[in-house]
Amino acid sequence: MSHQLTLFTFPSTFYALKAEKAVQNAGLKAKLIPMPRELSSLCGLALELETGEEERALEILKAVKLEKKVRVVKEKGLIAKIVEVVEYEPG
Amino acid sequence: MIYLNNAATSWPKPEAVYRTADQYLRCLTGSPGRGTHEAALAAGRALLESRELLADLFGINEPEKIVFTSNATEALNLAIRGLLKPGDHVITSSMEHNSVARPLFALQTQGVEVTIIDCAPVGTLDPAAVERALRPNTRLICLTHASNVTGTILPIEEVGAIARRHKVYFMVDAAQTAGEVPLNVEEAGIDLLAFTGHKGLFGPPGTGGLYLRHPEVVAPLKYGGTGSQSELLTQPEIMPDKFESGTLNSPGIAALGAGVKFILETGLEAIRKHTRELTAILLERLKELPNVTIYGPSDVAMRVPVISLNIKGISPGEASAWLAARYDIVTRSGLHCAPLAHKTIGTLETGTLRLSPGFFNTAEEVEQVIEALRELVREVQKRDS
Ligand SMILES: Cc1ncc(COP(=O)(O)O)c(C=O)c1O
Repeated sequence: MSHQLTLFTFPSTFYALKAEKAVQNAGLKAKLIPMPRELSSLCGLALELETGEEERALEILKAVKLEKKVRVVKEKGLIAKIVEVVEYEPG
Repeated sequence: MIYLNNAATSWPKPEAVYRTADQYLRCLTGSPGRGTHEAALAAGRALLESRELLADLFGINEPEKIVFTSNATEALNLAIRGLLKPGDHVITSSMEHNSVARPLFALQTQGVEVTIIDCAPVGTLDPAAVERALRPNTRLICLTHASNVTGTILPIEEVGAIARRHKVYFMVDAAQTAGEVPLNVEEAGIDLLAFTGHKGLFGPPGTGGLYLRHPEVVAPLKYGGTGSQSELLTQPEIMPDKFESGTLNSPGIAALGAGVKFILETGLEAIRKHTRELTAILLERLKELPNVTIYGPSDVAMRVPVISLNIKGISPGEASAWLAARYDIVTRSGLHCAPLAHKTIGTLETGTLRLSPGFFNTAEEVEQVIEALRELVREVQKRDS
């Protein structure tokens, strides 16, 4: 079973936790997972959610510093393919 | 026991503080930012929550600009040593605690110029004297918000305005006022705010922090692991990681958050009103006792709940010991780590006996302390006659 997911990465743990709180407060299902090393090394956490919820999440995460948005396909819980990577401006 | 030593460390703490410390200590392992199992995440969330609560209390817009330290002393050292370089000039007051005076004195031997503005014998500061002391190389004005010896509240808004006008950084030591007196970094133009967790904020010892409006101009005191950008050997610039190397005291910081939450829910106004009433009773009634000298301003609005006094014929140490032994009243005697302040009020030789009520003291307790002091004064008079 393959499954498309979006991972957001952040410049530090502070922003990852802030993002988790913001999207969860808005009722989105998102969770912090350990950062896959091949995606980023800025902070140890990535925020994972269904790609279908990406737009709403981005709206909420405007106030949070983002590093990257990564769309992946997961098969049996493992990343099978990186579909798309968007990097955001620092600052 | 009647505990009148809240200026040293507050006791008791709100119930939620004990509960939170216990819960986090019992249930959390690992450190925030390293490892994602639920417990470590919970620790990270607790840090975030405490940071946001403190930001709320101090009117700080960017919670990530608050970094946690082990106490006010570490926060003050970080700011002073991270900002000042040889050739810089710094202005401070004669009411400062040693946690400011000693780091400045140490830097003076390395070429930092230090001006100490003399305060009046009641501990008040003339802001105009600060303005007159400015030099072209003045980089920082560093002021305690209230004296831990006399309780005098210093005019941080006025001095903050002077600092802003002259484009000088302004640091405030809020060890005695955080959780006690309203404090807003925007209104007072504060660039660096040092606070401690274990006094008015009702947290445990070993907690505190520093707000940095301009983190880019301050060098870290500590370098090390942050759980971010781990492949780099340079310290990350990102906040709060830049100043938070090493595993933080997350149970303590979570409990500090519970203390701040208690303050926000109770209301600073209500807290201040109660401690002011207790201070007013003490000031009013102590004035009636013979042979007692009270230091600091007589107007209770100009004070935090800290009263220093001396009784003719007995040293503060002996008086404090007598109160403890006979009535189980906890006070503090000595120089209270602030020799400059004692020089200012004329008690460098003797020190003072310090009474510092807190939010959980009652008017009855304060009355009992006054009666105990009345008896002590009488006994000393008898001994000396
Ligand atoms: C005015 C003042 N500054 C700094 C400190 C130092 O606080 P801490 O011992 O928590 O570092 C204290 C209290 O001890 C204080 O009263």
